[in-house]
Amino acid sequence: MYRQPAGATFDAGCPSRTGVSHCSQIGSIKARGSKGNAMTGLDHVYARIGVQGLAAQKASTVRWRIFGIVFALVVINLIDRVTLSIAMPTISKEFSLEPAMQGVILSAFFWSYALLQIPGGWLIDRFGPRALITSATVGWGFFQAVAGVATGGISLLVSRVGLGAAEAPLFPAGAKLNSIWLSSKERARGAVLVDSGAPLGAAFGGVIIAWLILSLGSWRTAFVVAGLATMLLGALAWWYLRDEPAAHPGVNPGELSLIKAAASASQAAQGDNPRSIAPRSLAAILVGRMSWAMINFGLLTWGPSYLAQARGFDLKQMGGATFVIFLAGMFGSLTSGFLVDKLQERGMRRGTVYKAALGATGIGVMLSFLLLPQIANPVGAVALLSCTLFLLSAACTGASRRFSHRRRRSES
Amino acid sequence: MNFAGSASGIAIPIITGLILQLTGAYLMVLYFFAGCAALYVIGSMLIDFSNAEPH
Repeated sequence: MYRQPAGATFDAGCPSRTGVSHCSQIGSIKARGSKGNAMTGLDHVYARIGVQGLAAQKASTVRWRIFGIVFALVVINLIDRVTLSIAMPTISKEFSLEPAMQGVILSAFFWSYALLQIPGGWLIDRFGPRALITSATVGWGFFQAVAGVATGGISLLVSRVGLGAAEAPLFPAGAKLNSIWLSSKERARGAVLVDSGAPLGAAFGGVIIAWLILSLGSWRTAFVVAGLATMLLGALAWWYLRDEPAAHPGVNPGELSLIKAAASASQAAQGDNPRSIAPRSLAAILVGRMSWAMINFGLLTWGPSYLAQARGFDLKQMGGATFVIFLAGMFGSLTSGFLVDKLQERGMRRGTVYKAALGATGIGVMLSFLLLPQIANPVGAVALLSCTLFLLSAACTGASRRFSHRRRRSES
Repeated sequence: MNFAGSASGIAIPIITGLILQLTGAYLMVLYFFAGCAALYVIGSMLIDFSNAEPH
């Protein structure tokens, strides 16, 4: 009763080229089923494994596992980046650092990070994403651990310069993996996955690092533990990432042909010239981008210190509050990405709609900073900062998504 | 574009630290952030979105 249709489906659905081993496995399932005259529960489990095996033969999903790892790397990239922001109130007391010096140390990460953006593309072409991501991850894990044995402001600053340099290649290399591994339809999803890892890492960084400092009883051990964990993830990246889909042992012919078809399609589309942007718009975009980043990185670097010093939060409260605030940022980013896509689907292309939305979010952010000093209640302050980050992230994603839509239209 | 973001990343921790050092409180820092938001609004208003419209 059970046996016959199941067996028939398996045999019919078996791909002739690639499914040889699974066919023989199915044969054994059938034999086992006929011996007992009806399939046992265990046989059904085997049968289901067989079905999954067949589906995987059609096209394996190695590319999404690769993006799972890239996502995890982005999360830990941000966790390691915000560790110092969380620990700064504690460290500045121990090293007796003045606010101006704290600012310079928090800034040091970006010195090398910005500088390494320049040869980023060359590094990827020279070494390939796998080697670059692995060495970058092991490198930033190393500098994260080095920060844990800093003896003062200067050595802490040096460790941050190293961290910034080593963290810089991840995003461009991730984008390269995106273009190597994903089809044109899947690329947006891959990019959203990578993008949402950043605010998620900033959110979890607060909780994890605060918890590590509290449970280990020392900010130094927390840095070392986080650094070693990062290096382990670097080993995972080396083990699973590949620069060529064909070189990956888990990729079957089905997935390979899917990726190859996508690669040739994108090569054909590369001939188009992107539309030029008027100089006034370019200047306006630069001003907007810079002032947006001021607030974003201001909150990322000094936000936890504000909560500790101006609001009197202890480490645990600070970790919880940063989690809520940056998670709100992630939701803002997802919401606006979704809204822009919906508007595009409806054919809403008028610049005025986007201008109004960007203006409104900007005014919202401005008002919340003016309002924040008036709010004495700590829960109210965290709620307001969460709204601020929701709007701030929404504005950024909305604007960039809008531009990518435009680019896609001009390409087609 | 990325460099504009990184330039802000370099500047803002130092600016914030200096404001704190000079004023001893976060009030002016928050007002500075509000000023950045105002600049952001002005910047967004000046972007010519219609430029790339296909009509």
